[in-house]
Amino acid sequence: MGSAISVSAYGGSKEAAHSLCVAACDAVQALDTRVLSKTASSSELYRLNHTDPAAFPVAVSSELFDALAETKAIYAHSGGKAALGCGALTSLWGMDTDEFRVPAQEEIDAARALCSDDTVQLDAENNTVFFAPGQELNLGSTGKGLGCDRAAQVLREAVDAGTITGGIVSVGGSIAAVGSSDGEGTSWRVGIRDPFGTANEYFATLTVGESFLSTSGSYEKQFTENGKTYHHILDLTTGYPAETQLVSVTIVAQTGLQSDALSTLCFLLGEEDSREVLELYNAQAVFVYADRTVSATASLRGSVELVNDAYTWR
Amino acid sequence: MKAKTYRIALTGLLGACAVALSYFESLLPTAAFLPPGAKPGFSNLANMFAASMLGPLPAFGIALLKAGFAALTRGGTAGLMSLCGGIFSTAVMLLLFKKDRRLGFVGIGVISAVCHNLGQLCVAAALVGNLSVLAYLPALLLFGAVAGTLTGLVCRAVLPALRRATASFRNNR
Amino acid sequence: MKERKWISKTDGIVLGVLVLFAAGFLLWRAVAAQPGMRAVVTVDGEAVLQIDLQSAEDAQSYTLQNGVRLIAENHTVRFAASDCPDGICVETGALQKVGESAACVPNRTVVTVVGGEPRDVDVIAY
Repeated sequence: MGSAISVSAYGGSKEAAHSLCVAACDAVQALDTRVLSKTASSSELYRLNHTDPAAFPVAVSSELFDALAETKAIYAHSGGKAALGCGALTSLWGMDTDEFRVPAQEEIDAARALCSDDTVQLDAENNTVFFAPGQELNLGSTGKGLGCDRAAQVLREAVDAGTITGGIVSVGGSIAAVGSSDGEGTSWRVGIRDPFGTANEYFATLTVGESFLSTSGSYEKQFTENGKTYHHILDLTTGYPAETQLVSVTIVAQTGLQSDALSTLCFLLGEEDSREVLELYNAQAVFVYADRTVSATASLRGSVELVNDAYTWR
Repeated sequence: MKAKTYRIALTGLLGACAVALSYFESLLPTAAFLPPGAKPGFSNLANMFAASMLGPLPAFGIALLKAGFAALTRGGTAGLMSLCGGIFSTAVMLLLFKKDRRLGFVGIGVISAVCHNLGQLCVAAALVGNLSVLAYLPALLLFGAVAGTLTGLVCRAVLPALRRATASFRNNR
Repeated sequence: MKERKWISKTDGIVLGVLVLFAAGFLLWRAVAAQPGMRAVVTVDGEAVLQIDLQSAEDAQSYTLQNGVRLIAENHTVRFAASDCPDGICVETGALQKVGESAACVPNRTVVTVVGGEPRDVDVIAY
């Protein structure tokens, strides 16, 4: 996952809050190390990607299976721009290990051929996974959301038990908000990072209740080679970072996984083409363009307040 | 004993003292207003002897030895900080002992202690990537003043005895 | 041979300047320092995290990519755990006033308390 995890617990005793925060952090890290990580050899996903094709189909834990299945389903709406099996291309660009490089055209073409979800088969009855030789499954764009789900679980149990009144988790910038800070349903205020500012500047605030938020932005992971800047959200139909007027998309969704996957998906699809899938998953979105104009889905619009004069509504 | 052998033996002895002093220093608790790893600097005593009596090579040798010891026992970062601080303060000491006519031992001790800590601070700033560690500067200066004074006084107190004991050898400075 | 002096006038000047400057600075900081608004965490010189100290009452735990763990509580922040050999960062204890900082040099991590405007959001999504 490679992200900073922060957990805040409200309304309980100090000891309870402290141990809760630690428990939630540990749960997220364990999830990454045990199940989701594409680079740690201890993780189930790693072992899956490194299994001999002759051994396919492989049975996996239901935890991993559900994550894979839901990610695949969401990316099925991408028109080929995103896929669960995009690992071959993301490793080529060095996205997984932050050792970025611009691959040669032949390498990209070869990797793209291995990035179709058509050859990824998931059997829900037996929890088995099958994919073509050379393919790699990648949960990199949903991992943070999954981490949020896991941490939210820990917090939710504590809220239900009355230990705390609420909590907020941030896993690499993906947010889960559980309960409320005062136990009376006061909304949370979430800032959306200014795509053109530093890590602590936000251009808008979102007032939300219990929810899951994720932001995908071209500012997140970038590198420059030969004067050209490349961001990390790859469009599988071209093999290159998506060319778009968008600089960031923030999604408010029902689960962490959905918010994370949808943020990547909507960034790739653009505002117009995202409407359908957003409705389908009952999710809301805020779109930010390179010219600092902002738009949001209808029911979210009222909860968004622009706090930076440079930004205007479309 | 030939003069050269004597010098080597003395360097070795001082080196061992430096390491022992370093060890004892590392047992002291750290204070919150001091930068990580900054110690009073008593182990500078050995460096001071070497710088005033033996010359550049042995003095730098001892600084290297201390840095190596730090690296082995407390990790690469500590070793690097000790190296930078040690080399800088030893160089300054050598210069002062040779060229300066107005400073006493206390002055040289204080300046060398401050230089040692400054060297460490520079490494720390370079490593963490920003200048916020410079906030430790005032505390370092105070500590350097105290430790340097003590080190200077002890050195001055012992030096004459050391010189007498080695008077029969040439090349004593 | 005449030994160099124990202490000379120049020494006195050097000491005087040092002590004055240092003591003055420390005194100023102790008196004029405000309770901090935020704690900025930098790794390798880059700000990776900002913790709102104003609203930090109950314990909030932060884990960085390099394994360093920080805890903010009661408007203070401190290193809670780190894999460095010396553990000086953790020993430094709680930071509260503007300008106070703690560092874990092996992990290239520094936490500095800064002032500034209070941030009125609970968290920032990025």
